[in-house]
Amino acid sequence: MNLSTNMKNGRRAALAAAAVLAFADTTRAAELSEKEQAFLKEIQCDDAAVQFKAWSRSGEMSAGVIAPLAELMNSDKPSVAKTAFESLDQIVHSVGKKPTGERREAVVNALLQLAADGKPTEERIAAYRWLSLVGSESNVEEIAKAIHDPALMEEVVFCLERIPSKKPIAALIEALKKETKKEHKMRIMAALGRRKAEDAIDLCAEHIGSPDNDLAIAAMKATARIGKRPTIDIRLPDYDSLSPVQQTDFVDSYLRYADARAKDGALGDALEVFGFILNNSMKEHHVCAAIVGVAKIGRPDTVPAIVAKMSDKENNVRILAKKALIAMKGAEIEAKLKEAAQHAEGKLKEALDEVLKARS
Amino acid sequence: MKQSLTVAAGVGSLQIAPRHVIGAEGDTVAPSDQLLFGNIGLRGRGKSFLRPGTSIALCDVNEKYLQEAAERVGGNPKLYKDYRELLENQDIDGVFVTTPDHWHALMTIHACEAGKDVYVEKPACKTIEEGRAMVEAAERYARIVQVGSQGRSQEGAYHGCKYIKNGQIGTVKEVRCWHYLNPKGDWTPDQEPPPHLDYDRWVGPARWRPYNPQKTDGVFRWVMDLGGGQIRDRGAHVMSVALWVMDGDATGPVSIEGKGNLQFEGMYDTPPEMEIKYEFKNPDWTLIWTMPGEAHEEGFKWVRGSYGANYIGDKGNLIITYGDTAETDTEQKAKDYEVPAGGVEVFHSPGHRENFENCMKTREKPLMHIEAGHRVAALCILGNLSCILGRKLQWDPVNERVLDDDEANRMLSRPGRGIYQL
Repeated sequence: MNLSTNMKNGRRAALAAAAVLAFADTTRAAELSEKEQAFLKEIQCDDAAVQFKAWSRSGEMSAGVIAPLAELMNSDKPSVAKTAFESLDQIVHSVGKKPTGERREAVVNALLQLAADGKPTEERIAAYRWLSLVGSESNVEEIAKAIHDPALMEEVVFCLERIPSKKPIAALIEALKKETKKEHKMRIMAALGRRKAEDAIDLCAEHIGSPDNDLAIAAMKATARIGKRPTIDIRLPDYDSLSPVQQTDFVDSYLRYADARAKDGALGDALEVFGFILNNSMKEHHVCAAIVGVAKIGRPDTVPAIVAKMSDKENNVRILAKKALIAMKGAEIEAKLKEAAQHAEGKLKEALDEVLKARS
Repeated sequence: MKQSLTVAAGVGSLQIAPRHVIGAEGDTVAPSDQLLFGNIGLRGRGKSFLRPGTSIALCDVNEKYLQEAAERVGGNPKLYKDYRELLENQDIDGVFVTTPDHWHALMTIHACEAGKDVYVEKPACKTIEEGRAMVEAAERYARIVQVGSQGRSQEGAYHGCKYIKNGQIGTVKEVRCWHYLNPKGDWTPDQEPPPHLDYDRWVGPARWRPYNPQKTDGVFRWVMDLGGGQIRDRGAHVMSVALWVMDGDATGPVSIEGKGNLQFEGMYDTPPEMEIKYEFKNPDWTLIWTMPGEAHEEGFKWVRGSYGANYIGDKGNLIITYGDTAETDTEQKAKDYEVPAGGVEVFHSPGHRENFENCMKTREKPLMHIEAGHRVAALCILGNLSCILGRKLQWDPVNERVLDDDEANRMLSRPGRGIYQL
C-alpha cells in the first residue's frame, strides 16, 4: 500500500516544491501547534534518526498534520516520502480501534478532503485505502461520489466494500444501476457478492440474463455468493456457448448457491442441485461436491444416493462416498445403511459392511 | 435459484473427463500409475517442483521464466500465461502453486473448482478471509491441498515431535522462536515493467502499485502488503512445526501482542526487528516469535542463517532448527529416542511432495493440510497486524474475529482487484 514512490519525477518535484511552500504558509502553520510544526520539520530532516523519532510519535499528532503530510508523500527525497506515508498510516491506525470518537472523526474528515475532487489521483487513492479502514456509514455518500470515475472506481469500490453496515451496500447497488461499463459492473457485482448483499439479489440475478457471457457469469457468481433465492425469473447463459473457465464458474456458482441455501435451512433448494448432480454424468469433482453437500445435510433419505456412488467408476468418488457414510450421524442413517447392506451384493456389500463396522 | 433444474439439465450433458487417479477396482490405484501436474509460478521455489515427464503444463506471467522452465522439463509441455486455462487442462491431476504469496489463495480455490489437487507454497494465504475460503473450497470439492511448510516432513522435526509428544521435556508451556532480521533494501525507483512480464497479472488481486524490480520476484517478501517479511516466510515453517508439536492445527491463540520497530532505512516496510507473543488456552501455552531473539546455534549446521525454536517444558527443553529444508535438525537426545510400546506414534512423512502424491491416491489428509496451513498463516498475519496497529489483539479462534477492534477486523480481509476476486 506504500504509495510513497508512486510519483513520476516531474510532478513529484513540483508537488514537493508546493509542499515546502504550503508548509511555509503562515496561515496553515498557525493552525498547527508548535509540537506539530516541529514534527513536520523533523519528518523532512536529512538526519534519518530525527525522521525516525518523528515517525514514531506520529500517532499522537492531530488531524491537522494530514494535509501537509500528504503533500510530503510526493517529496523527491524518498526517505521523506516514505516517512510521510508511514506517519499517515500510523495516524489512521491510532484512531482505528473504536468505531467512533472525536479524533477519529477529525482524521476521517481530513482523509475525505484528500480524496476530494481536484486532488492528485495518487493522494485520492491513498485516502480511499485509509478510509476503507476508518470510514463509516456517515461518509458513504461522500466516498461514493467518485465511483463512476474510471481512474478511481476500483479504489472507491474497494473502500465501500470494507465499510461495515448496509449503507455502503446501498451505494454499490445504486452505482450498479447507473453504471454502463461492463468491467465496472462486474467489479461492483463482485463486491456485492462478497458482502452477501441480500438487497442486491434480484439486481444481480437480472444481470445473469445479459447476452454478454462475461457479465452473465459475473452475475451468477455474485448471486451464488449472496446465496438467497431471487424473486425474479432468470434467463441463463447458454452453457455450450461458455468458455471452459466460464463453465467451471457456472457449476461452481450452483454448488456455492446450494451450500448457502443449505446453511440457510432451505434444504429443498440445496438438494435439488446436489440431487441432479448425483443422478447425472457430471465431472468427478462435481459429484464429490454433491456428496459433501448431501452428507452435510445428513438426511436419511439421501443415503441411497450416496450408497450408489460407492460403485462409481471414479476412485475419488468411491472413497469419498464411503467416508461420508461413515461420518453421517444418527440411528436413522444407520438403519438405512443396514437396509442397503442387506440388499447389496459383491464388492458393494463388502464396502457397506466396512462402513457399518467403522461406524460402530 | 428459480430455474435450477433447467440449469442443471444444461450441465448434465457434460461427460466425466479421463483422469489419472481413476482406479479400475478397489479403493486405491497401482503405485505405478503416474500423476501428472501443472506448475504455476516457475521462478525461485517453483523451479524445485519442475519434473521432466510429469510437469506437463506450465504457467507464468513472465515469458522468460516460462521458456526457461519449458527447456528445463523438456518434452513438449503446454505453456500458459493464464493459470485458469491451465486448470482446464484435463490431462493434469494436480498443480503446484509456487507464485508470490498474494496469489496463493485465489489459485488454490480456482484449482479446487476445476477438480485439481493442490500443493501450494507457504504461507497459505495473505488474509484470514482468504485462508478460510481456501479451506472451504478444499472441503467443498474434497480436494487434497498440501501447504508447502515442508519442515513437518523433515527428519529433525519428526524426531523432535515424537520426543516432545512422548513427554520427554514434560508439559510444554513456552515455545520461543528466533530468526534473523528483515532486510531494509535500497531506494530503487519505480519504473516501467519489462516487456516479457505481464505486470497487471503479476499484481493480480493485490492493490495496484507501480512496478519496481526490488519489490517483485523473490524480494516482494520485504513489502508488507505483498510478502509480509520473515515472519510470513520462515515463520510459516518454524511455527508450522510448533503447531504440529503442540497439536494446534485446528485452533489459534486468544491474544497476540506484537512489537516491531520501524523500518526507516531503505524502501522496505517490514519491521527489521520484532517480538510477537501469542497466548493459547486449553491447553495454556505461549508461542513467541522473535527477530533476532535468543539464538541456539551450538552443535547445529547453519547454511542459510540461524533460525528455529526452543521448546521449553517443565522437565527440560528441546531445540528444533530451521523447519523448511533438509537442514531441519534437532538435538541428539531426540534423534536417539525410541517410542516405547503404548507411546505416542508420530506420522513419519516420506517427504512433503511424496506425502502429497500419496494422499492424491488414497484421498487421506496430507500432513500439512489446508486447515493447518491456514492456522499457521493466521499466526503470521495476526503477528504482523498487531505490529502494524501497535496494539494487542484479543482473538476469537473459533469465529476468527478480533474482539473490540473495528479496524483490525476490517484488515482480516482485503477485497480483490478488478477481475481477481475470491
